[in-house]
Amino acid sequence: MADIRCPMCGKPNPSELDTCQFCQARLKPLTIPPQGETVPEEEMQAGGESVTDWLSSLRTSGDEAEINQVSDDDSGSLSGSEMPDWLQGLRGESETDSSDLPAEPAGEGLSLPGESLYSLEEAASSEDEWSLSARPPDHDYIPDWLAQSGSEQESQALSLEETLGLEEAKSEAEEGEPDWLRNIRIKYQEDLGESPLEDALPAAAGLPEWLAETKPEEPVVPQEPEVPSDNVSGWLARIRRTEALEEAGQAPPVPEGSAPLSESTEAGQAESTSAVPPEESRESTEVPAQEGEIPDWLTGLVVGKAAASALEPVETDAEGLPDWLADLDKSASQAPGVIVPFGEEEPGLTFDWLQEQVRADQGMSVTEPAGGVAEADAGKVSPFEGDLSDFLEEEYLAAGEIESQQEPVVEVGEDLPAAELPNWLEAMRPLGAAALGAAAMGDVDAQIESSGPLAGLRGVVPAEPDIARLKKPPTYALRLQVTDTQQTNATILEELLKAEGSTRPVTGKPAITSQHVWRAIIFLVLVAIIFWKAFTGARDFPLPAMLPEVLDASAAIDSLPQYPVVLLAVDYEPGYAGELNAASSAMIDHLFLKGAYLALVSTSPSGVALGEDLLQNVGRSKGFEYQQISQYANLGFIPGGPTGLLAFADAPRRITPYALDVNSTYVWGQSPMQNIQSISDFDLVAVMTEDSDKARAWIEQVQPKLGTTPLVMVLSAQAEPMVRPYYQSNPRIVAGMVAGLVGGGSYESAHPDLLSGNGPARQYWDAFSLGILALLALISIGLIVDLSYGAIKDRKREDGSANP
Amino acid sequence: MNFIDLIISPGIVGLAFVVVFIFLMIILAVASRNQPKQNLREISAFTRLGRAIGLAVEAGKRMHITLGWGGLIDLKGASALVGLTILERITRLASISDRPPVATSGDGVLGILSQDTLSGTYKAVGAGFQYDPTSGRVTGLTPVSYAAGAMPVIYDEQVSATILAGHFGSEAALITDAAERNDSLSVAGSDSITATSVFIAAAQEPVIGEELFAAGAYINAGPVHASSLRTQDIFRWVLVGAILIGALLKLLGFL
Amino acid sequence: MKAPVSTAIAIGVGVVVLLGYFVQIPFLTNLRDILVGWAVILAAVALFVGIGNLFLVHLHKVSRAPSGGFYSLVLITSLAATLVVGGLFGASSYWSVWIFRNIQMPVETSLIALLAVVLTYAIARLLRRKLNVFTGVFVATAVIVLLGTAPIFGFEIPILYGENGLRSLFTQIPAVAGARGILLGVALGAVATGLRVLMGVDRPYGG
Repeated sequence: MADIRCPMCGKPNPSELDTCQFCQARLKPLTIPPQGETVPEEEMQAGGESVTDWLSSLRTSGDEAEINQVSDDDSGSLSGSEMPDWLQGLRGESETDSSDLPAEPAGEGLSLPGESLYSLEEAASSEDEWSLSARPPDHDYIPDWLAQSGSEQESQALSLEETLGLEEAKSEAEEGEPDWLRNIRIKYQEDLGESPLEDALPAAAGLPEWLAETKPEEPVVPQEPEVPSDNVSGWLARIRRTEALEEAGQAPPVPEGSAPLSESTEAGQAESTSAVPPEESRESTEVPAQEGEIPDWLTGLVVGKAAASALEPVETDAEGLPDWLADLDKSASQAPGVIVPFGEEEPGLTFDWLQEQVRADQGMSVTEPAGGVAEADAGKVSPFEGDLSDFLEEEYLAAGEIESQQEPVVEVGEDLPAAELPNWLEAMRPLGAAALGAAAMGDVDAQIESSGPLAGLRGVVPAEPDIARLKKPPTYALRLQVTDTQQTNATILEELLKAEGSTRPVTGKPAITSQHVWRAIIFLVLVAIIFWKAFTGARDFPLPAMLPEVLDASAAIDSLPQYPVVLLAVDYEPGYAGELNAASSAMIDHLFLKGAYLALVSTSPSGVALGEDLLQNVGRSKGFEYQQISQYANLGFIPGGPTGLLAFADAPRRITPYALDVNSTYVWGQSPMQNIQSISDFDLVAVMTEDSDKARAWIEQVQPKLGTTPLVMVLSAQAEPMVRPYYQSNPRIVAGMVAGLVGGGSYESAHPDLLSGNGPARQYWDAFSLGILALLALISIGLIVDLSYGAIKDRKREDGSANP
Repeated sequence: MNFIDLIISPGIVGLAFVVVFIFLMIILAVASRNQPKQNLREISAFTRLGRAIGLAVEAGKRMHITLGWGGLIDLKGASALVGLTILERITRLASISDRPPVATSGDGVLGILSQDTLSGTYKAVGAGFQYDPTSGRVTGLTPVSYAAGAMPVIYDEQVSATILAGHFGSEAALITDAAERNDSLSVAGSDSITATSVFIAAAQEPVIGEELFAAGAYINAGPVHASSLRTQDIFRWVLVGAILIGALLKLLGFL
Repeated sequence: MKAPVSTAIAIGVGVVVLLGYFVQIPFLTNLRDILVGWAVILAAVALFVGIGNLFLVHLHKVSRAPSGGFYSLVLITSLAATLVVGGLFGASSYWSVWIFRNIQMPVETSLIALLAVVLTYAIARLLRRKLNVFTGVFVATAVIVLLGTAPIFGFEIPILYGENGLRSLFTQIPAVAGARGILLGVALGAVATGLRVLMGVDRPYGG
């Protein structure tokens, strides 16, 4: 037959056993039916006797007991047929609690007297934390045997033999102590080296001495109002402390005037939750020392354990602890990295009462706790879903080794509805301690749980991971880390902000700069040369030789008939009058010498006056004045640029009908203009312009309509390159050109009789020549100086940047 | 005139040239609508112009755009139209300036158009109150008088940059010299060879030849400006080929 | 309402004139001549508009800024006086010519004369401002042309002068060729600009 693995210690046991042979934990959970219903017996096989039987006996015997009687009142002798007072009291309390179950928070209340011991610690309440919720159902109720054992100084250990003996005795006293309690006693006595039989063996007629000697005392009102969440281990902690104290030679703390066990449990609860000072716990765990009234083992168990747990580290308790208590620590220490499933955290403890209580609480609404943990717990699935025994069997028997329980929910059946766990119970669920690191688990042994039902125990998986524990937050340096670049930028910004509000002196430009100097030099040199030549009248330089284009122009005029009618276009700006007057004077004089009648036109508004000025200058140079209308006609301004030229070329009479004399004479009706019907009727067309575009406009718009009439151009030197191709074309479009002062000088050179040999070109030629040389010299010197100065300046700048 | 004469007549060739030009402009404008900004070779003049606008606004100074004296009647009007386009863009960009831009010209028609452009641009940006009729002015009716009238504008009216875009003569050197004396930027471009030669020597940022007509594309005047620039490039290559082929044929004696 | 009408007129007139130049249809040719004639008249009228604009600007300066309005006052006075003299005596009268010969011409010729100083200074600083190959070529060309323009102390350097001299070579071959190329590009740009106006993309008249 397959062995049954103990849910507490995890050790294999024969299947026929109901309790573990090592820790005396129940192997097969009890199933308590609700009130009015019976539980199948097979579910309630425990310790060789039917749970139902002793429960039933408890119930029947409890009819006579007072409901709210404290345990100390029931210290009377117990017969085998009588329900011990403490049991009666427990039963009554359980009845009372069970009746109040709907009103009370879940977990509170006792279903069976026998389970009251643990229910005091593990009773869940309506508080959010399961540690806080495990409050005693009745603060006033303390079993007699617990209350009287507080004064006991002796602790009796129960050996295994005593345990067995206890089992025998148990069998004899069917109405006596429950198995679990007997086991505890035996165990404890063994640990203490005392004969467990002395006090453990119950009287043949009834309960064991320890139970019979239970002194009815005033129930110890627990000092602590709240029961911590891990108050399951509260009383155990007190037990440990008591043992430790005894070992240390100190009197274990005895709870004041109350059932020691109950007080100790409550005190243990308080210690585990609120870190009650040992003094308080000592007080709380003090029990009235009444020799013989409370079994020594139990007294010692309570006091000693409590004292020990309060004074000494947990490790020292292991020596004096019962095996099941010691196993409690061992189990946690042996598998530091293993999450002890729920129920196995405290080997030796039977959670039957817990199971039953939970079962009894099922169906009750879990009131909202004050804290927030209960809210989280409310949504959790109860690990005791379904049949508790099935849960335990499946969970601990089938699992084998202790594994980290990730999901406390027992998958008993997928169709089973998820029960709502009480908050306190939910809180007892093993946490997902997989997140705990090995370090955390390594420290588990050293940690003593300070709250909850596991208070006082060591090796408990912490409820909170280390990372969530309160730690001192890291201290960050308040000093800002600034790099050098950032500091520089900040400094610059600061300077900019400072400078923003302050007025900066406006640096004025110097009155005389290099520009002024250079311009002055150039001006002075040119003026000096011109004035020198002009004032001295020197004619040192010969006029240029005959240029081909000038000869062609002269030839074109020479080929004109006598008294030709010449169209003279004065299309230059007044600013260029000096050059063009010098270039055209000789040609004008040549035309007048031929007896030509000049018709002046212009495509610029100032050309009218320019033409007049030109003719008067020419006449003045010859000592006479040309007469309007008789010698020339000023036809005026032709608007529209090339378009106007095109129109004039098509119909000159229509575009310029009248002369610009005082009378606005209609010269087209007078001789010699009366024969001019179109532009081609003119004998010669001479265009004087400084702009190559205007020259091209005349060439492109008018010349095609001239026919055989030659076109001669008098140009500025700047326009000559653009017009020369027209002169050099074949057939020639432009018959001849006189370009600039050079052309004028060449024309005067070709006709020395013109202008009396003292034309403007001759007058300007020396100054013109020297001026060009001066310009060349100035340009050359300026280039050299500027480049040198720039190079020196650049070198200084480079030196300055290299050597700041 | 028979059909062949009609085909090869200069008129038909010219008309075909114009039609193809228009067609290409439209096609390229539509095709480039969804394309990112086209890659144009950098012209430092327009780069500095864009920067100068921002500096003028920040410094509280004004921009001076001078349109020359070319008028709109003949070929010189094309450069004046480019100048008006630049004027419109600068006015739009510098409308937030404390000192609005000023436009000078040497022709009555350009004076009227400059005023019209300024007025319309200010209305378009919702700053019609900023328009001042005197900001578009004729400074002279002859080239030299026009230049002489434009120089005091540079000296006296807090000009930070002068843009010369139009038809000029050699008198434009006076304007650029005034800008240099005033330590202000001068961006100059003209269709005139004479003015171009002067600008190369005297202006800080000369715009040579057809670069002036690319101003619309560089200052983001519109997608058609970019497409017309690309069309110009296409026809330029066609002309280059025609010149080379003609020269070769002439050299070989076929022409 | 204003902008579409202006655009429609501009586009319509432009198309007619363009077609009138390319297509020799008498109707179009006549219409072109009429429209061009109107343009010429408008250009002449625009001269008066320019005079009026000049007058108003300087009048505004005189009234707003008395400190800087002196020269504007001089301009307004001169303009008025010239108008009166020309209107009374004629544009080609003695007094009109006197004003032109003794005031306008000296002023303008002086300003043009300043170009010598300005351009000399500009070329002298050109290399420092933009030091590259093309700037060097520019300066070298200017020097060679200047040297070949006039004889040096009456002595003509053969390599520079004449039809085969460097000056003629520079001015006739690379300079003119470059100028032609620039003018071709300018012509293409002008065509594009004009066509943008014809298409209604550019509307300088929009207002």
